[in-house]
Amino acid sequence: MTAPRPLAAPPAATPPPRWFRLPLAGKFAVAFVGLVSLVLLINGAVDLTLNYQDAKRTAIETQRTKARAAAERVDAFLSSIESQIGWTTRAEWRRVSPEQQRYDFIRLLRQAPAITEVAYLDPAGKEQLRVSRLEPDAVASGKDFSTTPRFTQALAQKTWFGPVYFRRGSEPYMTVSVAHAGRDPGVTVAEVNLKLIWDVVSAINVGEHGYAFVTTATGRLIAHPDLSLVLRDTDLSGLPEVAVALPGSRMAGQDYEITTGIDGGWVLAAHATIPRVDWIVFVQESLRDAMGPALESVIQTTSLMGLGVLLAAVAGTFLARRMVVPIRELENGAERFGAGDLSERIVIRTGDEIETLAHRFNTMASRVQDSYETLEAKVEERTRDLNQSLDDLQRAQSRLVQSEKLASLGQLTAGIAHEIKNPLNFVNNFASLSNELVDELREVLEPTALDPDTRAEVEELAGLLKGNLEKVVQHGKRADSIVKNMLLHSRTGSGEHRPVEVNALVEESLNLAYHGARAAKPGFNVTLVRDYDPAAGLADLYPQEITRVLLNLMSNGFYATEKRAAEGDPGYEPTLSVATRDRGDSVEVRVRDNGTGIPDSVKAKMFDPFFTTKPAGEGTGLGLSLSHDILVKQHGGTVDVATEPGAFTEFIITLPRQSVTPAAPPQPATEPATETESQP
Amino acid sequence: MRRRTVLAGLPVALAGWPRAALAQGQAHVAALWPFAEGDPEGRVLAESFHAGLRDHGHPDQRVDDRWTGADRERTRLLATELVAAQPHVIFAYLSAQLTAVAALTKQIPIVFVGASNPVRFGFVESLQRPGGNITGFTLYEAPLGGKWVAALREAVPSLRRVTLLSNPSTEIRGENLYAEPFRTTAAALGIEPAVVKIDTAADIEPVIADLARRGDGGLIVAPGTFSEANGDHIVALTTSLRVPAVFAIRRFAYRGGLMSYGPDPVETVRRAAAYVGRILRGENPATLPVQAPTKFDFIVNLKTARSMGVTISSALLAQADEIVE
Repeated sequence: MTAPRPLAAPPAATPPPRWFRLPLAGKFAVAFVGLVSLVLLINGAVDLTLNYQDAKRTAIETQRTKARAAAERVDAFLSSIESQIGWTTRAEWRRVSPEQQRYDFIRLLRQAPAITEVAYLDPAGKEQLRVSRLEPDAVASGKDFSTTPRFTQALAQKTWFGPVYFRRGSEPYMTVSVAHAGRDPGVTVAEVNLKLIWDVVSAINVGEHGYAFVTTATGRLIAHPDLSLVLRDTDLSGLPEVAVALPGSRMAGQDYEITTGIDGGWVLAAHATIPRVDWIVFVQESLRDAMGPALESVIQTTSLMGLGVLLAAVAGTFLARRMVVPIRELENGAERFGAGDLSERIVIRTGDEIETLAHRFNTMASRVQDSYETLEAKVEERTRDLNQSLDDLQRAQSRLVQSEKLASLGQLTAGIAHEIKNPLNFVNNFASLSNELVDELREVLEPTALDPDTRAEVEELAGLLKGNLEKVVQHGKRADSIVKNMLLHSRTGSGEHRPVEVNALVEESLNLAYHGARAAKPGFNVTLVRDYDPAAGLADLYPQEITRVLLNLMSNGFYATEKRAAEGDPGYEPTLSVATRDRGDSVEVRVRDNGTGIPDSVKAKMFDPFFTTKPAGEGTGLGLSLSHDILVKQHGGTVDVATEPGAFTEFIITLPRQSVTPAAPPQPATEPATETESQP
Repeated sequence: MRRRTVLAGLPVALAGWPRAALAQGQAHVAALWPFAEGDPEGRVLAESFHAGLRDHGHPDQRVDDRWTGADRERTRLLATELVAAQPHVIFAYLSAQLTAVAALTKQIPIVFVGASNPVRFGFVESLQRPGGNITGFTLYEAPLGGKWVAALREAVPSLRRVTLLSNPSTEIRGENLYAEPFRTTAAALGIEPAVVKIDTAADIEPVIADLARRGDGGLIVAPGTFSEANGDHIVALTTSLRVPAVFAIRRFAYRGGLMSYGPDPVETVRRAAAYVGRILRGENPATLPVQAPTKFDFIVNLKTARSMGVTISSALLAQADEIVE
């Protein structure tokens, strides 16, 4: 099988962008993972947002509730102070003895640790009694408070909560005045140490780490679990969550929600106000605690997302591999096919389109393979036919060339022979005539008396003349023979053609040749081997011509054996074998001698006219040329020679049974041609 | 992260650790107590301090307690020793101790209990922002000088003269912290005030004996290192000489003094321990406000009253937070 040329790669297009250079698996995996991740991310993001918003809302709501609860507790603290003060504001309290009043105040101080000082202002606003933890008690000091808010506001509102003030710039205090019941009331004024809200504030639990704190309406911190912050005079109005809660803020009433806390860090804050004191209670919880569930959900969603992406990556890689491996297989198979290796088949068992594709490839490959094989067989056949034709053609051509050569030579020879024959006839005839004339001359001279010397001389001259003339005649006859042969050469056939028994013809020729040879040379000895095919049968031939050819070949063979025998090989046994073979439409005759053989240099030219290897005068060089002419031109047969110098020479004559050319011989032969040249 | 970054960050990270290390109990906390070693009151307070540290995140904090007694020289000596040891925080109980250490260092944080007017004493810039290395808790306030007089007068209406027993530890620039309100109130009540400054225990007896001799006098024992140390002695003298006395330090009412009006130092010490803890955790004493007491207890010893023949009015009894019988 001839390897087809590998398929040329298609011309390279403009190089695609880098991404497109990724292997299919990569693209597939990227696409798959990307898609899944995208879906997961969107899902996660939506989920997260919703969850987060939900959790945030819940957390903020919780914070608000806590803030309200915290505010209520702080309010309760104020209420408890108010109610404790209220104990001294009964209508009849004014009428109890100062001692009792003082006693009540002392009791009030004991019961309300936040109150550091309590005073009684009579209906005129004069201080009648003051009991303090630090200062000596003052009875009827008469200080006039009638125009101060603690008096006027208390009368107007029943209870008045004064602004927060800071003792020695540090401790938050507030004045609480409560008007007494009844007509024309007095006022009980208490100084409340707000440090003690600490108890309330620090008891408010806001988550695990969250806490509550209280500021005034201006953002001044008044209660915080870390008391030192309060005492440090901390203004929180700068804190975003406080800023928005302060009255007058643009976002008043809203919670800041997520912000940074007092001590940094993200917190979730909410607030509630205590209207009667204009305080704002804040609760804040670190975002981590407040958003714990949300964070958990975030972590859950994120981890689910991560798991999803991971799974997608694994699945993508797996699928990509599953897809790409058979595609690689397919690619390799296609490459093998492309390289001309059609014997292997692509084996893919994926049960999908790729397997179908592989089947198609295989089918294609086998088709191509079949086609190749058929084609090759056809090519071989055609080549053989062509070679055959070429051989025939060449043979025909050489025959033609030979024929043409011989034809032209024949014509030339005929012309020359004709021209030579006339003068030669003159020479021959006049030579014979002269011979007779010499005899006549002798007869004439016989009767005449001549002196004996003269007579002797004349006799001698006449004898010489006669001898010369005989030589002329002899050689003239020889020349005539040559001319005759030359004339024979130029004709295509002689005599009638008729069906001839080939074996008989050959046998006859062989006997003729052998006896001719024996007659010419008595000591001649050769072994004759006959191998006639009984089926050789009849062939339409010119028997005389074929006999000439056979005689020629056989006498050549005898000459060759003789020549070899002359070399003095002791074990040499000269043999000439003749064989006939039936070849269907033709008959084959082989003449084989074990003589000297023909060297290659001779073989090429041996059918040329006038070419001879014999010594000058022995052959005309026309025997084989004539034979060739007869066999090929006249009978349409062939003559081949097989030879090995020093071993054998075999002429193989093939004669068609029915292919005698109708062409008449150029010159009718008057006498059967005899091979003169090969006769020794 | 590159190794170079890690190595470069290492010193910073290590430098950041000591505070954390302080919380691990490796910190050195020293306390200066104005008691003799083994004094029960001192032990109670020291225990309260330790408990306070324990409760505020330093369960294993060892405290280097130093017992100075009332001796000024010894106080100074121990204070010098203490500062030389470079503790992380020094706790000073009462003014004399604070004065002793405050003079020696401006770096080591000092938490005090008992310096009545730290601003006037110059220990802190302001109560809300001490601004230096000192912060703490005050126990007494100047107006109490009047309160004590009023209480004494109420217990003994026949009182005509009152002596405020002062000692250098409660004085600022030669003036007793409580003298001004004491005098004002006494004047308002028609009582003759006297501020007697004494330096040694031996000086006590003549003062009390003088009051006893006059028969209409009362004694106010101002707080301070001297009183802490000599309280029992004073109690004994006043009881035996039948001089009605009011103490600033509550435990002397329990030990036989007629009355006392003042804060409970145990609770304050406990809160001070919280400050110490916060400083150990890295807070700056300059930003920790000085806190004042919110509650003062009035304690009456009825036994002593009876033995002295003093009749405590029901109004006064009503005021008493605690009564010793």
